Amino acid sequence: MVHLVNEYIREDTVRIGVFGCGAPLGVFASIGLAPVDVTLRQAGTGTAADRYIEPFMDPFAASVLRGMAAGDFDDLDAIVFLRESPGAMIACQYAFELARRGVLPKAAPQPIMLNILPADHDAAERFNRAELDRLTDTLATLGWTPEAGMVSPAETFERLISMQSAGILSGAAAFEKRRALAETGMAELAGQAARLDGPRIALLGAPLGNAALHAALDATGILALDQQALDQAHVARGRTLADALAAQAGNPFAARQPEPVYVDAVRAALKAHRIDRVTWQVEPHDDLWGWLAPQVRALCMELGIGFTDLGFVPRWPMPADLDALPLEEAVA
Amino acid sequence: MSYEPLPTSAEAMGYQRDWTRSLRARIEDGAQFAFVNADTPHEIFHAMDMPVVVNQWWSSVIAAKQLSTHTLDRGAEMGFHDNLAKYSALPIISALDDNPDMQPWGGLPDPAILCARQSADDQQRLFQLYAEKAGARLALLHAPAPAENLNDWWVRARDDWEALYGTARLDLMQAQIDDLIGQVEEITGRAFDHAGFGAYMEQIERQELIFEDVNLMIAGAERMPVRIGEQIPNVMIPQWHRGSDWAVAHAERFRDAVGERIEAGGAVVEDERVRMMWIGAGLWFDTKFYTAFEEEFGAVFAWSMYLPFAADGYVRRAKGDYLRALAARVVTMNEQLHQAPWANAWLAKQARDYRIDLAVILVPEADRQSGYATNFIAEDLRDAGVEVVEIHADMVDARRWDGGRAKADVAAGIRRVIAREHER
Repeated sequence: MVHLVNEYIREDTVRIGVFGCGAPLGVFASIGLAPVDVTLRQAGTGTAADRYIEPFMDPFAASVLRGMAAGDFDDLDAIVFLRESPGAMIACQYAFELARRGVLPKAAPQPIMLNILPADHDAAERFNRAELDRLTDTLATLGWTPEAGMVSPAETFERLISMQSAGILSGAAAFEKRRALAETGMAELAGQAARLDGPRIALLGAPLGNAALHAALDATGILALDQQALDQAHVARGRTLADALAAQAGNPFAARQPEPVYVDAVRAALKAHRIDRVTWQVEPHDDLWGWLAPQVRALCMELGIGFTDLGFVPRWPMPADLDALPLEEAVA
Repeated sequence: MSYEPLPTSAEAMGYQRDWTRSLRARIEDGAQFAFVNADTPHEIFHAMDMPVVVNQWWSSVIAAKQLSTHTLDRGAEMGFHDNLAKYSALPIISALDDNPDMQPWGGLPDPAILCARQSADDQQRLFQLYAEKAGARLALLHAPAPAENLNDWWVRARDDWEALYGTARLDLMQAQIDDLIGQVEEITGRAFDHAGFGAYMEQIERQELIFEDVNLMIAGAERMPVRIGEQIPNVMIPQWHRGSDWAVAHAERFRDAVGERIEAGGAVVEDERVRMMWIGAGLWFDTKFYTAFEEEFGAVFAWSMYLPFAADGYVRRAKGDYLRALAARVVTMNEQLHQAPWANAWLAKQARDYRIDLAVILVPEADRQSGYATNFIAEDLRDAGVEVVEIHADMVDARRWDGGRAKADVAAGIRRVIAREHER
């Protein structure tokens, strides 16, 4: 179900959304921006945008376009699309084009492309700062003013990871709290405790839009680690702009990270969270994470950790999708 | 009168075949080569006399040699799922497979450096795999998006590229090109010749403007004088050697041969009834598909992107700053062919210029970046009065190719065009 975004934000402010996995909340906080993360919102089909959406489009991208066409985001003034998130660049370009063709309602939020490179060489640093200047200039034309003293929720993201690993929170509960934190900046930390017996499982691969798979894995063991959570926590880091940009550059879980640091980061995480078995999944039109699967499988063999490839899992899996998955293998 | 291929077509293909075969000998003599994507600044390597093998060209050769099925099956055995993109990946999988018996001409030696723009989401992963296998340097170039894709890019890009592409993006690309120069200097032990680079860039512009002349000649010809299966090697092989004496001379020979063909009234088919455009990369494992409709329908593929893109995609007037002009050439190179509204607007214009009746769009569903904007393209072409057929297939994956179905779909489109003509 799609909720109007203004359930969560004040009425007297300019309303800004952000679309894309790995939203750099530390960067945003350092410039006084607290956008509403709309990435995981699932819109229904049958909108005016559908005729332009190819069946292989990134599902998050397709959904935000449908949502814009359906008026789900009309109470936002703008949506910032994160180029470095797979699908987000295309979603932004489609949003421009759909607006030009008159497919989007006039009240639809203005699309804004934002590039924040996951790199820290001098040219990247200059470019990223120029991009942020362009962002704040564009937002200023909408009446936005930066909010002083804003702090990124990085510590809360980190705490959720720790609570999930310790079994204080189930994987599904942790997912929902992270979603709420991204959307509202707040999350109630109390929640459903995980079981404390069974194998310790890590969920790796592509990001997901709901907690259905997490809940299924919670039922088979201790879902102690979630790559999506590691990405969210990493990009939320940084109290100053310089620190926050450095966190982007150093994020090994960034989809388009140019340095080959992903496997080493996974190795460290699997050890730190004492993982017994990795479950790997990608979405059916994946064009990114699958290139890493053989390396992760080899890493698991090296570490003596089980590896289960669940294959293709939709971004918003339904019970029928999960029925077909070899979940029992995850605890074998 | 049967169609005779242009002599320049065999010349171009022979030149590239011999060049590739000689590469191994050059490597054994101490040369080092770069393995690069098509949308990277080849000019830096050429200017420093470092041989370049282009990923997408090598991919097309693997497919044309009917080796893609073996290679992609090997990729699956390595653990890569089958929905991953194939075009840019085929040579990487082939290198990982490391089986000279199943590679064109015995395969490639290990490159000294690999270079890719992160234009598609998978490029850094693919090139990291190959760099690690080859023990080679890796130069990944960032590919940030413009604030908004503005038209008419093909007009503005020649002189107004600073405003069109954006100063921040150009600054970034130019800095990365400077860094690339430093890397190639370290590999080759040679210093980059800035003055010589200007003259070389002028040679490239001359070559691309020759291709523009050819493009105008072919578009304006009463009947199509040369098949796209010949246009492609005559343009793209010189493009992989752009600015060299051979490339410029070949472009001139191609122009002259086309001019003579037009003047003599030569045509692909005598009774040309339907003009078609092929949208997308080549169908590399079955290029005979392009000629399949000539005899029965008088339908000829007149247009593919490679010739018209030579000028529109490459001519960036330097105004004294050749490295910045190079940055402007590559900063958005591939995106202009695949992203809205750049691709749809340009293709609609091309259809008008070539008096196209039917557009065939190759939609590679496992290659998202190449498949995006299909519906915008189809709608704009239909609005321009062009019949549209979509073929959902891959440019190098022969395993999923249903040639019979594709031919039937195109034939049905041709019949619709002919029926429409009869109604008029």
